[in-house]
Amino acid sequence: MVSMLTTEAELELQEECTREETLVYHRPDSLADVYTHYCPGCTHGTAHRLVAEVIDELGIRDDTILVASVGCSVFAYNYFDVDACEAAHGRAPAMATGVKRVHPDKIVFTYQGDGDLASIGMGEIMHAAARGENITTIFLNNATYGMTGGRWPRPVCRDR
Amino acid sequence: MTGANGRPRNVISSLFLGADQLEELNLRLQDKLLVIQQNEIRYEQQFIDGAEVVVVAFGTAARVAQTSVQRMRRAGLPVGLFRPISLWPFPEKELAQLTQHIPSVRSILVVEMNAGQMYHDVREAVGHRVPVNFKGRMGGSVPLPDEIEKELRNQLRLIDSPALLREAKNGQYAYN
Repeated sequence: MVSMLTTEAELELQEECTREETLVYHRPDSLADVYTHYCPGCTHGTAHRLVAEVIDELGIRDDTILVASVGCSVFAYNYFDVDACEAAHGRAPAMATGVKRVHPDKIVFTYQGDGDLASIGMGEIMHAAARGENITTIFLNNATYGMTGGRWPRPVCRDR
Repeated sequence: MTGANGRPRNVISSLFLGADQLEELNLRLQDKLLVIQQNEIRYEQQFIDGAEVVVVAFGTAARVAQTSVQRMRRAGLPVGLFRPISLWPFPEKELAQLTQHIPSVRSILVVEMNAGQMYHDVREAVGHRVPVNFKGRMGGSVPLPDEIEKELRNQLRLIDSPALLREAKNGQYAYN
């Protein structure tokens, strides 16, 4: 481990902190150990971590299938260490519907931003909900089309 | 995708945003295009033997041109038809061979139902060996066999075709 710690007391502290029984914060197992491509200030990193922590806590990593959205977070499959696929812009719930019906015993989830889910994909999410599809959708409302330069997705930014 | 139980995750993806990855994909696609170009070329030729003017046409225009060519051949006029069936890959080599290896071919007439989308492909294939002329109708207007025949006769006249002169002497056809 690369360390700037010098004094013996500090080294002891480091050893104490990284011991398994005292370790309280580490990368979730279902989050892959890769460099991030998200820009500084983007909330995807935090959201990814929270979702990954939940996957770990529920112990469902081996049974989970991710459908990624379009936008920066299409690369969610680079970060979540689960089986994954892409969908057309806004159509992740439709894709997830198909995946879930083929694999009813798996946990299928979509991870979508507001541009994907609430602008272009409003129809898909509404109808998936109306049909009562047994899928999970993580909706990240950061009020930004990040991939195309930070434009505002219309339906969610009136009060911004 | 069945859940990454006891194995590395599977990801179904067609997105390549990194320059290196994308170039790798492009190189693979270029190889694929090359294979298609080598295997998928389709075309048809009619009355090429001894033809002095060859019509190059595809689709509906080719069917109309076929009637004109058949009629003129019956009248003893040396015209032929080259019909690309696949426009991509374009039968470039075959067209080039037409002008290289069949010495009778002295002029080409491209007939299309547009402003000349295939014309430049033909010119590229033929080069400067023989003149390439164009006759196009647009807006969905379909050329009539008479119209193409008139243009073909015009081309025969431009190259001083002996057959046309013979025909004129016999007085079988009015010269227009």
